[in-house]
Amino acid sequence: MARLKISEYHAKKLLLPSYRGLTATSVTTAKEIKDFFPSDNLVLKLDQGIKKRGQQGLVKLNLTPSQIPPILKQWSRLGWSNFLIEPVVEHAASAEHYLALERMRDGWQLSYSDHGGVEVENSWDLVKRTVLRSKGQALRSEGQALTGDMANGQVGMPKAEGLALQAYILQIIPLLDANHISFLEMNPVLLRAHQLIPLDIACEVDSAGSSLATIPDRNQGASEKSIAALDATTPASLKFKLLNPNGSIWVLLSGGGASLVLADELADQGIGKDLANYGEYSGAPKDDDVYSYTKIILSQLLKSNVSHLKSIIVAGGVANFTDVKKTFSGIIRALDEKQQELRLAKAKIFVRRGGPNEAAGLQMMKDFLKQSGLLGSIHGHETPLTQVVSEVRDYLGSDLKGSAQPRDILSAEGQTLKDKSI
Amino acid sequence: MIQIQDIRNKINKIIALGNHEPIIQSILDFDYFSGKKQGSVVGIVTGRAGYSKYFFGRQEILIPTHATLQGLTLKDEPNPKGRSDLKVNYWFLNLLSGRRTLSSVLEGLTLKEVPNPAYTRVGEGQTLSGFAGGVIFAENVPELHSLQILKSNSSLLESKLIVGPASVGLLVPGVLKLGPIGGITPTQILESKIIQPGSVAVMSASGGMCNELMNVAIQAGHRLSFALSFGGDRFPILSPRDAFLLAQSDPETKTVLYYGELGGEDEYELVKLKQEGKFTKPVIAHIAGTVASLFPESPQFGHAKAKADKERTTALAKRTALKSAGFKVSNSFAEFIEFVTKIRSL
Repeated sequence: MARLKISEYHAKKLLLPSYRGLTATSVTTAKEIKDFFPSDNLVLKLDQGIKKRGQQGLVKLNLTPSQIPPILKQWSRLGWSNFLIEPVVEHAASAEHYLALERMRDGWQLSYSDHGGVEVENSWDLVKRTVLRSKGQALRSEGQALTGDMANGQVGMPKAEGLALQAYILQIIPLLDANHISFLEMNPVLLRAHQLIPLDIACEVDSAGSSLATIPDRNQGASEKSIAALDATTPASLKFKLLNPNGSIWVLLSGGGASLVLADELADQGIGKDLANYGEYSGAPKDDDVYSYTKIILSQLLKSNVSHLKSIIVAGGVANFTDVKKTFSGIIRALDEKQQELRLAKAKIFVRRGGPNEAAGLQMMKDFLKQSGLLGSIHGHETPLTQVVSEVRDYLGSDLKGSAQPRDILSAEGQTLKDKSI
Repeated sequence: MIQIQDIRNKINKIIALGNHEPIIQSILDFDYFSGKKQGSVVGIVTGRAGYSKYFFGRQEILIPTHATLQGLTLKDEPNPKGRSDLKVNYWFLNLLSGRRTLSSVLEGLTLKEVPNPAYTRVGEGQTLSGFAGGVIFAENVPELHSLQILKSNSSLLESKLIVGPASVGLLVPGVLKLGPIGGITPTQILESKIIQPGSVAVMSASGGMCNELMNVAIQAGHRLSFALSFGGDRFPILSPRDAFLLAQSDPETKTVLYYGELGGEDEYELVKLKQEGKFTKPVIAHIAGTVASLFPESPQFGHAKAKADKERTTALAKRTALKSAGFKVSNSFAEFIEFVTKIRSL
């Protein structure tokens, strides 16, 4: 349903016919490494789809086989699990180029720069872009044959290199299509004797079509795993991400769009950092699925710090075909089982929902929330979608942290790549 | 491509691919409340020839089911003497799974490309031009399949109005309900006032937000000219650009309400349309996903497209671009509602 990363090892195995690399874990031994590589000048890197490994010291160069196992153990203690070992390819920093291909509506967008490697971060404006459209058998960019384009230096490369690149691209695109690869980045890539030698590869596949194994979400906790497993068993959609286990705002949202609008509103009101989780259910899930989904979220909530007030936002837009009464009966069943604990945790529930069987669903929810003492507020389609957010803010009042950092903000993702010389 | 006005001016018939009882019944209810003499769903491709029971008002009806699409005859209504124009628009409503979308849609598209005696129009000896278009309901259609459908569609002599994948449908009040759009229960259909036509067009990347925007417009006292959801995939067959052109050429549409999300470049096409003067009607737009800035790297949100992998595709960048092109863009959903409330009654 979305573009997901695959491991560098898998990508290289698929795209480079003579690739030799060794996947490693914390228990890989020096002997295994020595037996695998003829050379003993090696590079070790993390292979879990994160950007900017170099900056975090997760790429090590010029290692001998016996130097590697201690580093593997050390990285494992930091919570990492998948590594890749390759021979070092000696080269000058100035030989590093940047190349990326991304599937667009009207063709493949080719991005190329002479200044690859870490430099590309500082010189995005030097990256030349063109869209390659297929016309019959020939790839064309801006109406010109690809040959002309690249060989004329329009993407900023000398003629010989342009021809090498062109040959490579023509050969690789059918492979990308066959595997539903939608994004491929080689940085850095060397051009040598009319050959492309990619040193680092990042690759995304379209998970709706590809059968390639994707990298699981690194931060997945127990409740996220349970919901992912639940999601896999239903044609409906059930998504959950734990952001801040001690957050005071818990959400049970429905619809990909409405859940985003509600999360925006929390952020706009300055209380995004109190948000404990993000997620949504949609596509007419069965009430049993909604029950299990709610149960997992509630048990996560009840594990959290009880010293401050809690709120649960049960909200969504006006559904087209998700039955409000049915899905609410699943939610109520799960709430009912935990109503005493929820009261002790000083939790209040704020509801806004519309759609099929709205009146009956809301009435049922209202009766339950009143009787159990959990009622924050309850609204139907006539109340603006984001009003519950203000009500929650008013309820939580001084218990809002605002400044606490959700777990993800502290995570290592999204820093800059600095592995200069591999 | 067929224009919205052509939908209003003709009889619309629907062939459903896949039998989804609540959705099909909701279309028949919509037809009944709209005062039609019969329901618009005239056939259901189920893999087996026979009949399926439904209700039209209080009356039980039998809708023919078919083994394959190829077994169908798309018949035009008899025309008054001396007239040769077609009176019927045929629509497909693809309710099959994501995996079966490509083959079934291509099968539908070839109706025009490969002349088949089965589809020859009864009467004037003219060939019926196949489907006017359709809706693809399934999620999880591979990007490549969408692009293949897109390519086949654009290579046709006249491209068809294909909405989706992952779309809740296309609605022309009182005329056509192609999908679960607007609701599936009789109460919802009546209360949501989607029977009465008006002048506000709604278009949305999200199915739920499509209905929410319709709700916002109705609550503010407006009625709709048409509504559709592109679906939240990366390559919707009907692009937001195409949909804006439909709104531009529609004489009934006075204002457009637009809901988009972070991810993808579609909004920059809207900016271009505006700058080139090809779109001139008032628009109120909301682009969701500013919450992504709380994260170091944009997370993947609910829809396949909802991830900003570069600065240009963040919600904030797109809001700014749309604003500077002259569209009215809200900073919050509450502000969006406020803008809609202030549309002058037309």
